[in-house]
Amino acid sequence: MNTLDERLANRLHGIVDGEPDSTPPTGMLLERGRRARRRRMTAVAGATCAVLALGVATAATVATGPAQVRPGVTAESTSPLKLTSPAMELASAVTASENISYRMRLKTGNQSGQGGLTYEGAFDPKTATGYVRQPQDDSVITELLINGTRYVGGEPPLGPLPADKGPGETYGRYGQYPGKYDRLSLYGDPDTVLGAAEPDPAALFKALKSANATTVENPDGTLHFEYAAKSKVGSSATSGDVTLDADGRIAKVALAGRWQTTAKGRLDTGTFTATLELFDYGVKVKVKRPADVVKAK
Amino acid sequence: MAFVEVAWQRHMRLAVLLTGDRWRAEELLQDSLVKVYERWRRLSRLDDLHAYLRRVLVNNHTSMWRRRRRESLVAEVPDRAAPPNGVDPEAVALHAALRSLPPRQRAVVVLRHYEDLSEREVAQVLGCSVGTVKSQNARALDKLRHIVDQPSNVRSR
Repeated sequence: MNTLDERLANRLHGIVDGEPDSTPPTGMLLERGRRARRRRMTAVAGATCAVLALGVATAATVATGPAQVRPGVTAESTSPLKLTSPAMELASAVTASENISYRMRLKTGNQSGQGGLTYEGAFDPKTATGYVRQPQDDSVITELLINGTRYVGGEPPLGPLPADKGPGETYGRYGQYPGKYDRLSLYGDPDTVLGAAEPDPAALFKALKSANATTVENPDGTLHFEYAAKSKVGSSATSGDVTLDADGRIAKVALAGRWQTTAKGRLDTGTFTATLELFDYGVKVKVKRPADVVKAK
Repeated sequence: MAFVEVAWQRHMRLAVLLTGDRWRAEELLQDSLVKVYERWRRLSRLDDLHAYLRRVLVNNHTSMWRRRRRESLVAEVPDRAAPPNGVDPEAVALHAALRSLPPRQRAVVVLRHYEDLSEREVAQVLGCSVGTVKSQNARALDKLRHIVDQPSNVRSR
């Protein structure tokens, strides 16, 4: 360095080296971090979970609902009328879709279809094995689940690295998490109720009860649901449609909603959409353990 | 939690130089740590998490500066508190000159001359080319030269 550089370095140190040390507001930071992660998951990935929660919510309503829906499944089947309620139909679809492997594709975004993320993967609940990938501009975030062991890592981006992004993580390196897991987690926030609903159709049942959704049948035969949620700092209203495949399993869940929050001391509002597709039920899911693995902290 | 405590002490002075005052530095560092927390599961396996936080800090500062500039278009520059007695007036002048630099130039100066990073490392933090770092540094030094060239009794490192 030349003399000017050295003098500048000395002066910069002179400005701040006398700054007193302080204690970080750790508790507040952790709380802010949790809230931020919750908001992020709600606005982007949380929509996913809500999608899944939808169906489940309705199914649960059926299971715990009033007795008048039950005649739909009695033996008096001589009637040409449809005997099952939409909620029961959905409950039946959820039951048919559980404990079986599948491929999934999830797209999230706002109502103009922008700013969303795409997740693709496969999962076998019987072996707790699967994967999900989520492309970003600087990497493809990837979660692998192998016999219940979770690995999360980043693969190279699908396109060229943007000019404003320098080299960041080491591609192909995966963090291995302690413990055993029975479902994928990449787009679920375990801190939230809806986050508990993973891309496992069976998880819909759990979310079903808390969401308390209402379900009706659309003229085209798809099932429509709606529910609202409130928290201390905001609320959301969600509606969606469920399409079943030829085997009566859940094939597609399309969801849209509005949210508002005062978490930042002002009123923020937004919209979201999410479309979850489940297909190739019964597919064989095999995942290879990555070569570059480090212990996750 | 241990990372937060280490990071707070390690990056606070960098934040003060970037923002120009302690209050905004704490706000910037808090926001940056929250961003890291949001992505903790993914980031915790990075080789150098502090380097990542430094990058977040610098980029976050640029974003905050742009946001504030849009929000605070006022007719008159607000008063700043006078330096307390005993504070080196040359340090105050340099501090003011730093604040007058555009945020990217300020970041280049602070990373290069305070954090002692190489031009290549600065380029990685800012996500730009080494040539851009060189040119930004040269422009910033031109603006700061008249202050730094003045005789000083500031202690050596």
